[in-house]
Amino acid sequence: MISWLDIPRFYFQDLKLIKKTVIVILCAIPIIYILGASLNDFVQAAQTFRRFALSLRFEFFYCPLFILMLGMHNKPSDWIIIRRFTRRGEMALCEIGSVLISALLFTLFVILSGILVYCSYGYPFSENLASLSDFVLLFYLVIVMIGLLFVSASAVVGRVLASIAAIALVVLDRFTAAIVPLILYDENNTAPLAAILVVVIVLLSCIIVMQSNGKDYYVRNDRH
Amino acid sequence: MIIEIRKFLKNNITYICLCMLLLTVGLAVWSGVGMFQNELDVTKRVNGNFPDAVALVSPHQYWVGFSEVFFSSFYYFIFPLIVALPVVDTIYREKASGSLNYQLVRMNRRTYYLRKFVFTFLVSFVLFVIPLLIGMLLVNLLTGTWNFSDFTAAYDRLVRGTAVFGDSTSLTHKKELFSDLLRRSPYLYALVYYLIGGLYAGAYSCFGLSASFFIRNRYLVLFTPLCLYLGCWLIFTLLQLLAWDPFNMLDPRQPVMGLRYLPFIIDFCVLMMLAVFLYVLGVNKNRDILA
Repeated sequence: MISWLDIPRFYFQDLKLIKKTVIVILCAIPIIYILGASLNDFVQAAQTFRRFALSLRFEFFYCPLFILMLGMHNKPSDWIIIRRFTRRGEMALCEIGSVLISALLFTLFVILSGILVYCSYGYPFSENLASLSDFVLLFYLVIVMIGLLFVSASAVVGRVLASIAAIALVVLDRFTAAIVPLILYDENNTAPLAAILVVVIVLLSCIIVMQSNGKDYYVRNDRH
Repeated sequence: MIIEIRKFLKNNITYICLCMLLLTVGLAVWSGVGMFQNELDVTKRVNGNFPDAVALVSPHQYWVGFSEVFFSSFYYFIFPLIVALPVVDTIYREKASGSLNYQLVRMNRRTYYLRKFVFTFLVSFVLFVIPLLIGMLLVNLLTGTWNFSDFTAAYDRLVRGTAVFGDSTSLTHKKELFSDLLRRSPYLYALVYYLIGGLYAGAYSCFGLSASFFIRNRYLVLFTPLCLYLGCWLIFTLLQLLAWDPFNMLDPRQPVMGLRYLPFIIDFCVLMMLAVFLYVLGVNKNRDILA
């Protein structure tokens, strides 16, 4: 039996195998911030940090970058991963835990590098701590939700097709219902939105655990 | 080349990608035809007294890539990934399975790599263009319009400034680039855009193929073309060089101002040179069978 404490250990063990690429992906974020803050009028016109961070489009930048970061990890069916576990539930929990940690790392990197660039370019930091923490919380929950959606879809159709589905869904949402932008730009209803997102995350987690019971982890399919 | 075609046809991913492209095209056509009927009805009601205004509402504006329909834009957003999926990792897979060494001892190394490069380019070109042509046929079939002479005549008058419109007619139909082709026939205009798009699709896939020599993660290899496409979009947008960005350039709607012919050629040449340079570097890196 593995404990919850083993999940971060496993995650960072796996991360070591792809550390160079993850560093490149994460470094792209501050570079893009610096480019935007130096050269782009739209980014420069951002009144608050929230607007500054979201001036780089969520559906075309943050979402594909996060999906890429998640998808690069080893598949659960790889023997170096599968040998750690004795039960299917553990594998599902580990996958959920990996998404939570990845999202945390990603969010921290986005927010910290964003604040650093935002302040170093002389923007007045008008946001109070409560508003900033609201944004960080919502950003994290949205990223986790997309990550879990990706994990759930990848159990059915493989990682590449799941990536396409997750990215497509976020882009589709942006051009139709605009739920994700509504959540990220909202400054007044953080608590109810966060509660709804947590419910969705719990539901998705339950689905992933259920999927793991019927999944054939021993199949050697390198197609996806 | 026949061996490559056989491998390509035996790959399940080929059919999955083709289905995804056709599904996107089908949904774009379905939504587009509905939008066309609505727009035509509204224009006939509002601007029925102005034949030029009615003629400018033409079904070709709902071919894939030409309309504001989500799936039409989505095709142009996701194509570097989907058209590359069946071919971009062929060398990576053959290297991982040992098939590469098996083939290299039986044929000329240069022929093998050249064949892979050309095949990747051609397949991506065809995978990009064929669904778009099918979309074009479907829209024409569903709207029953094959002859666009009314539109070309009205467009010609629009360009010359002799067309007569009501106040509510939008003049956004006028194109900056390839306008002469549109005056002759929308088919010519669409074909030119689809061919240019196909060339870029091939270039993105070849870049991914070249990158597969240097990247050890298969997932990342598959996403290289999309990363390049979106990366260029992001950087060109931040640098405010929208007219130089393939994301805007390849769109037949011509969504940004200041488009010119030169960026089409320069971007493509730079992209191909980069792909060829990386490919040659990668091939040399793998020169030794034990490398």
